[in-house]
Amino acid sequence: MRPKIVLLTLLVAFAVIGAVAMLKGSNQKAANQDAAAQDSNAVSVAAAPVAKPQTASSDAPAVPSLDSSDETRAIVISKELDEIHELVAQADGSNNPGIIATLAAKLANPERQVRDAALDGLKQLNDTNAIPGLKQAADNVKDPREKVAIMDVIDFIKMPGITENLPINTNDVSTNATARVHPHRKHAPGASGTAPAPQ
Amino acid sequence: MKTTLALTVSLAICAHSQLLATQLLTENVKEGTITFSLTGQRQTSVSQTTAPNVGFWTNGPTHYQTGAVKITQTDIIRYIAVTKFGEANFYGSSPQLVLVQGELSGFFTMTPDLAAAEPFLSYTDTNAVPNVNVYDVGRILATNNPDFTTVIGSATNSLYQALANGRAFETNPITKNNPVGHLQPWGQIYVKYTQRVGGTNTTYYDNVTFFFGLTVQECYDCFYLNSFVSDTAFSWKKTTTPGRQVGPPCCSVASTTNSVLLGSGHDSYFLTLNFDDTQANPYLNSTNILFSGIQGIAPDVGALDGLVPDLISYHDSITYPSGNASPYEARFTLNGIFTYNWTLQFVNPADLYPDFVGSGSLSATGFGFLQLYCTLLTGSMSISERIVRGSWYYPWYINNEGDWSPTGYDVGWYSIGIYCDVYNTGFYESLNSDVIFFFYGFVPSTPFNTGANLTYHTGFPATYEPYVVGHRLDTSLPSLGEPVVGGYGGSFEQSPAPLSLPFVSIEPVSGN
Repeated sequence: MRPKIVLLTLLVAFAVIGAVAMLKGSNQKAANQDAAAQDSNAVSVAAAPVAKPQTASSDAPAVPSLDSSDETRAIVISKELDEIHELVAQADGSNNPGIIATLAAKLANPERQVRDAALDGLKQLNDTNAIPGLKQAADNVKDPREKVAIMDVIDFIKMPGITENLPINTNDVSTNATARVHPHRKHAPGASGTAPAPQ
Repeated sequence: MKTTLALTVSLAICAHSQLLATQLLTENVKEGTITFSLTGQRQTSVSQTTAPNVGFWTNGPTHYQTGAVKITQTDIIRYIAVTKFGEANFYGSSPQLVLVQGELSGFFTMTPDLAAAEPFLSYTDTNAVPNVNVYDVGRILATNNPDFTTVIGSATNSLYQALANGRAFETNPITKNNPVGHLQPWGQIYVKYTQRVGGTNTTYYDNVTFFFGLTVQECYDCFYLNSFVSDTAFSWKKTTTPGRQVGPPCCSVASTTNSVLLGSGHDSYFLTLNFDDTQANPYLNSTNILFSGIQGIAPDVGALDGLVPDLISYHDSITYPSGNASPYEARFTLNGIFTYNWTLQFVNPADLYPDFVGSGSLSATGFGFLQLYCTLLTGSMSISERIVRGSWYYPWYINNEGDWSPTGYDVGWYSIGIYCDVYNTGFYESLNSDVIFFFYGFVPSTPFNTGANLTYHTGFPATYEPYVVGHRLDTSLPSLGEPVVGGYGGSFEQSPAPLSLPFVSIEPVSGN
């Protein structure tokens, strides 16, 4: 066989082999990607909330696994909300500082629901010790509506209660009050037999 | 939600109470902290000038100004303290308003025995109203109630969760299950406070339920549920705990043997909440058959309760009261949608059924008569529940006031049930019964406004009570909770809204 023909044949052969090799490599890569995707899906499916077997002594609801992002987020939010409500329920006046600090920290939570619940919790506590934390949160928040909501809560807490600074004993009527009862009591339409005797 | 089967033994009250003392020292109970965050807007100045309250009425005031007040649970507790004890700080520095063993979900119901609980009739007080029996308000004595477990932590054995049955009042024709949504919210309202006794801080609970009235709106022949809407997912869960109830009355699905019902959800319903510490509250009025023994607030100058116009003598000078007239007089009504987020949990590991535990909030608007000011209210009322350790002195079966009772042992709670038989017989008909016609057209076969209920449930008013004043035709819906009949032989004032009680105006209100 002439050398030129041999060389040409070898070149063609190598070219074919190279092309085959390149083609095989790209297919493998695609196959690997598919396999990875399938694995990911399999993990996602496996991560769907599954009730764990319950013991005989405890029939509490199962704690779901946390791999799905939306489900994870919902569960985390739910736990945060439960914690906030538990804190508000525990407040008895003597433990307010710790509860206020915890709720104030949640004003920086990335979830709006949690921030709103914490703000509502602080409003329910109605403790002026919460005002510094609220002011700081108002300074840090970007959303103007959230800022206004925080400022409203600050204003609410600052406002004195309707019975603050009142006499402690009985329902005293001030001697300076101008209310004087008409001597003959009139009856409204359908007034009851429970009306007091005329003055 | 339920105590163990070990307590299902019929005992005399006194012996039973001793058993309680032993068993319930380790009992968990559910307690909901109630908070109010209300802002009130009221008139603070009527004046001829920009200065407040200057001038004379005959000259025609041209400047009007309002101001804001804040009302929280702290103020409400002070109102109660002044009414009961004459001292605003009686309950100490950090009292709480709590709903004890409340049921806020629409998915709970009660057993026939509890529904049959009767009002407690204590004594005849001929000094108050001659020849008229005075009922000690709405207390339910266990001896009148065949369900002895009402003595235990608010009938925890008698309440359970139920699923919708496809009917508003009838039992399901196939499963015989009762419908839901006729009983919530349930419970008793207490002031929880701490006092130092003998060097020890002791926690007390004072039942103040009768200061409050709750009404829920119902609606029939509609799609699905009759008083609430819900986003909920229940699931059956296998259990091997001995004694757990796996069949009727809670669970009648044949395939769910050895299972309990668990789940979580959000229920919403329209709720009216009244508070009244004045003598307009029939429970606080000594001339009313519902008198609780505690006289309501009335200013020294006479009963000013926002109901009767022009009691105050006329003076031409517009003069701002320089003092606080009737500072603790308070009556108000809140209306709004109450939303309750819950999960079913076992309060005690050995309970027969799980219980709803969660938090709820009433986003409300309303009006009130506070310190002689007519006040418009906005804000919220919230209830945050948690499980706490109970004790022998837990309020459901101990009365702090130590009132006399026929058996010498005072147990019970305040309910709407004294007139429950106006609507029904107060307890279950046979589960297989057909509906019969009475009053509104039928007697429900389900517990509805029974003697054991905290809350009054009402549908759209049967009449709108229109009346003609001059040439105007005024039509207005009666306040939710229905007009109240109090006393003996008269109809009670309607506005401000009375407590939600099971009284119904026998005749329409007529104009003068």
